[in-house]
Amino acid sequence: MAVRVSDAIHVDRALARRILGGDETAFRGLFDSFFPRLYRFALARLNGDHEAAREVVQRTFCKAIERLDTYRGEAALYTWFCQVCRNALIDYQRAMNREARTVVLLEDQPNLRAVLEAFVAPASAQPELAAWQQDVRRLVQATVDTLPDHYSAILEWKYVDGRSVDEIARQLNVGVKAAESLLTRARHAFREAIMALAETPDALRPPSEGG
Amino acid sequence: MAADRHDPDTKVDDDMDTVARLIHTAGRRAEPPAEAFEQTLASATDAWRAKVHQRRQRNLFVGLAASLVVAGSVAFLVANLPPESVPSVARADRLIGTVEIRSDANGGWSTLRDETMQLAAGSHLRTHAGSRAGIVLDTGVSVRLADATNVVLESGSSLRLVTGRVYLDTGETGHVARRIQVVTAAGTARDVGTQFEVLYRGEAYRLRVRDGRVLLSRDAGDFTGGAGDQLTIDASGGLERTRIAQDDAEWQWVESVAPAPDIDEKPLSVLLEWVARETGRAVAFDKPEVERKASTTILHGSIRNLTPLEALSVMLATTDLEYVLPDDGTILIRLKVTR
Repeated sequence: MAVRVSDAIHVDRALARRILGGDETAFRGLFDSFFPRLYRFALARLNGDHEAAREVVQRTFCKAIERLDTYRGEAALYTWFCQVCRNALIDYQRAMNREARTVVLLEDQPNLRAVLEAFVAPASAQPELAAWQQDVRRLVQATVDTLPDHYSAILEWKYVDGRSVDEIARQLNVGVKAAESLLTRARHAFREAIMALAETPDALRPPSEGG
Repeated sequence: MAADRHDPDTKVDDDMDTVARLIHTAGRRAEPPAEAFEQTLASATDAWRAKVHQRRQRNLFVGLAASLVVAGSVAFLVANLPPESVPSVARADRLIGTVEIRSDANGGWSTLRDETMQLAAGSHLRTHAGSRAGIVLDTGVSVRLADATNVVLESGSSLRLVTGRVYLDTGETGHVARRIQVVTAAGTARDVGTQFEVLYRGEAYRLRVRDGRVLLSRDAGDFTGGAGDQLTIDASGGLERTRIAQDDAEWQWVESVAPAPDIDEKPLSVLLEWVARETGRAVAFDKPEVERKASTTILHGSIRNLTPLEALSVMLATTDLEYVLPDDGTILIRLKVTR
């Protein structure tokens, strides 16, 4: 069973209260979980500039913590941090006197279903299509980043590393049935997350289809 | 989850479904540089400490200002002041027998009767012989107290076990907010997303891990317990590792104070998942048709105050399904046998 959004937000509000109350375990847990995901989120929007990504994510954490008492649970806490990160990106570009050259990402665009179907086709030799496939690759990774840590880990172990369920069960110190169950829930969560992006109209199609 | 069925061990090849192919093709996510992690952690920690300090100062200031405003009334009110307001971190959920509470180490014990009572950080709880209690932390973690147990709810992430036996279920979501530690003089057990039990009585200490992993920190070093591990520390400080099955009868006491899920208007599969987790038995279906029924049969009513298997019996009574407990450690769901 996937985690219900309302439950997750209830837990996120409790987490925010604990962090504001001075609970170091809660603070460190949040940092360990959010930092890699926010870093990738920022890096993708800064054309791969690592130094800029570090600075933006640093500002994001400082700003988000400063304003954490305004978090009311309207969205998941990670989503809320992403919004703070978007603002930090804009501020960074302004401060650097950069042209407001927003990197337009696939997940910021409508409709992805056709994109995803084409993406899993063999890699294209056409440069345009290859670049587009690279974008979708990053989009899939960004979607994995929106999942709880243990879901994203098990999906990568299984489908990137090719580990068997038995191996995953041993890694997690759980039974095979429990690992299977966790994998099923992780797949379901991924499917929901990526299809939520695909539900809007105006298809974004690969270059070969005239998009 | 019928729409998401798959063979978990399908090889990475052309037969894989879309989810598998997408993740496989996208590849592993890149880890940020360690230097960026350290630098950002240092800044974020400074910001967090400043924020916590600022809030404490502000609360102090607000308290002082308020006390000035009401200074004229203090003499009248002081005798009737309620206890200092401390944020609640948990609520009572199931109480069996005599369970008592006191707000701090110097307060008097009073009987806890309200099964929905909010519990503040710092609360002391104790169960008498033959009694049990189930409480639920704000984070959703289930804490269950066996009889003759005395604990201090130090915070939403820390429980001090003075004496007795506690069982914790932090759920399967692995959310960082649900991390919790059980502190005793003999060692501290920290969960890594799990179900576990700690017993501490006199010099006897025992940690049982039913699911997931637990880190046991002692002066002598750290030990990790995985699912099925039972770590026992004897009077001389020696540690022994033995095994305990997930469905061992030793776990049964926790079922009587398990927090019941809301199953009204929910599919039978939700109830089955809870029963499986609480009993340590996997659910198996007699036929694919029965599994489909479990996902489409909608339940009505409440299972509060029922143990998991009692709840399953009650809810299946209104369907054409029944359960049996075979020797293989599963709960087998099947069509009722017509006589």
